[in-house]
Amino acid sequence: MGRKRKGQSVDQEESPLNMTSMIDVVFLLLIFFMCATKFKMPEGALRSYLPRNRGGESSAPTLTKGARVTLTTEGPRTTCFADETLIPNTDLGEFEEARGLDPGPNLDEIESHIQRRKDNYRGVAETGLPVIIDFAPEVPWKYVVEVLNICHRVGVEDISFAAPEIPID
Amino acid sequence: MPAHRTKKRALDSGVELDMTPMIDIVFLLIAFFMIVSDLSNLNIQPVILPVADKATVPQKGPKDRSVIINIVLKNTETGKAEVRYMGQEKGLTAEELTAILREEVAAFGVFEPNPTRPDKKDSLLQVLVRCDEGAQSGTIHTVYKACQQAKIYKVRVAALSERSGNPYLGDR
Repeated sequence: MGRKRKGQSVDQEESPLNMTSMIDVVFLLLIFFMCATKFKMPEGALRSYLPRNRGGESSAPTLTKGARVTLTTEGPRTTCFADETLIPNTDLGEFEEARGLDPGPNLDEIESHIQRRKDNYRGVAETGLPVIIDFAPEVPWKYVVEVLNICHRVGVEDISFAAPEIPID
Repeated sequence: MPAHRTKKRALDSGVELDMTPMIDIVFLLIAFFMIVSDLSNLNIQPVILPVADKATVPQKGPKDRSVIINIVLKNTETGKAEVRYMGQEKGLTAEELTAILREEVAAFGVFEPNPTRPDKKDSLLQVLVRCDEGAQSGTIHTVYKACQQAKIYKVRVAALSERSGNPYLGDR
């Protein structure tokens, strides 16, 4: 018994765990992950559903027609009409500066217009005021997303993109 | 004898370095960097996404499948852009994209009946469109059209809820 104990303690003393190589590998791993890591903002998404009922029943009749936001472009300038109201071009951000574009349409004006239309909407559509975003193909995607975002913020549920009819099989 | 040796060694070196806390911390750091480093998502291509404060990080269910379509800007002045599937570098035509999406829909194989035309079925496959904010918005119509022809109706538009720097100065 006494001998055994003595032998064990000798083994422990004689072969201490050599951690040098493990620490080398661990440091290498640490440096690799530190270099390979890129911190970035998490990407979000605006949910949307494409129409599924084309060619089916017609949409519910509305007493007041929906709002229409029209985006067109003319050279470096993007023009926006909220219904028939021309939105002034005042927003000059990093996008416009980097691309050498004219100031973009004032988003606050678009928002207040849609908000006003939504508050005054007396239609029968359950989803509230329908908004159609009609954009020319040349308009930068940024402005379309800005309008889409405004509609989400105001609480508009029925948002459509004006597009040529797509034939279905 | 062994106790004597240990004592001698300790006396020789002065103090014994206890490395246990350091190794603990290093392992914690490795675990942290392994979790935050996203090496797997090769389907995302470098595009400057628009900012939309109402954009939400989508919650993915266990049975959900999402296909990523990137719209990459090719000409910053005209806004001409290329439609790319997942991590591929090749620009696709509308027909090629439709064919790819139809294959994806068939491979996923989960459908639900169309509410207005019960004889038709729509796929539950989701599409995430990552479009550069400077791209001509007409390009996205190509993707929408391809999705509709492939019977996909769940389409999401990628956007950042906020931006930390100016992407045009090299920040993302």
